[in-house]
Amino acid sequence: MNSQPPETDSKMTIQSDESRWRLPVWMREMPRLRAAKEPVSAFQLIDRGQLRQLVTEKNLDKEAVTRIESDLDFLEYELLRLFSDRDHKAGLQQNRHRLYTVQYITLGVLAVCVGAMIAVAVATNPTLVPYLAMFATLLALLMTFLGTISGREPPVEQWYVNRRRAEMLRREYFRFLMRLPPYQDGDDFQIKRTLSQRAADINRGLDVEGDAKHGFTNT
Amino acid sequence: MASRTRSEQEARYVIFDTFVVNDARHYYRTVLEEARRAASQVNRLRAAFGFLGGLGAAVIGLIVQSTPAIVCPASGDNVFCTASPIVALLTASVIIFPMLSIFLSLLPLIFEWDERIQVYETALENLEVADAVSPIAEMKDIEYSAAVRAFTQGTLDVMHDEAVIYGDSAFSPENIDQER
Repeated sequence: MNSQPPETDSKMTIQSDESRWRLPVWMREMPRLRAAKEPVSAFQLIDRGQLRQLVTEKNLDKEAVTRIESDLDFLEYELLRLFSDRDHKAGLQQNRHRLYTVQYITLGVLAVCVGAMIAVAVATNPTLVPYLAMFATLLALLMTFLGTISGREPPVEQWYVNRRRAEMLRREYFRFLMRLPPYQDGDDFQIKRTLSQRAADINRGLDVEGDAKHGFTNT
Repeated sequence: MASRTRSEQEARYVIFDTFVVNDARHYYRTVLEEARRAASQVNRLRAAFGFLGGLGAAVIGLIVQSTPAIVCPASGDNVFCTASPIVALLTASVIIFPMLSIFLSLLPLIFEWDERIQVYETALENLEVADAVSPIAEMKDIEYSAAVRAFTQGTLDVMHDEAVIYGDSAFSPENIDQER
């Protein structure tokens, strides 16, 4: 067995969980009882250290790299904080959804298990039946409790909304960096203003990538 | 003005290729591998617990039917009245193992491993399609610029399609009409 956790330097997701790397894969995905309340600070979609290394390796034009780094600075200030926040919220809601679902399943399985034990106890040891019935009632109460607390801000919807916006912000980041439309022409300040507006629109749920004009509301 | 030199386009392409395309490819492969392993592990455990539960029930049946010692006295209620600890243990296993099997069989509904495998396999294939139009150093400036744009747009489209699992539309209505 490896003594070190596997390398996970992918920037496709901020969320990483190295504390569970020894567990079987399916257990690593189990939800956490307590999730991080704050997003990862100083997260970068393009690591500056790796970028400088790449510039040296590939012998890229220094002047061009300076302009690109200036773009990255602007992106970090204008877009990355929104992405980081959305990504974090998506992670929280995903964890919340999975936690509730696992709890429901566990309670349901326990209820069936207790039901089976009651059936056996009725025949073998009837004195156990009241205790088992009490336990079954407790499980039913817990399910009601869970149903009540999980009804506020449905986590699946929140998870999808935040994830969708985070992914759109990520694409906008690279669209700007690669100067794809609508960033291909114009003065620098115009391009930067366009990015600011589009990032703010994405963050509030508008589909700036084209579907909205066809009548889709992508919130 | 925002006009860019060939060297700047090359630099942007190299950065995009390294930090987006290669990273996405690595991420998709990791997700695929982990989803396959997780689904496989859970499936095996589920089958094993189902098997053990069934085996326990069969052994109980065999013991009850074949052991003369397990016969209820006149005051007894049923076969369990004189059950040995082994039978009690087997009885518990007949309840617990199938429950564990049910628990595990519900996990794929939460983690959606099969759906993820499908989405990321397609994304990985489409990424190669986008990669196929990547620019070549020998291209003239205009062709190079067009190739960079096609390559970048293609990659972003793959990332967009990958997000359909969160409710993004894969096709706009116009494209749906074209598909018909």
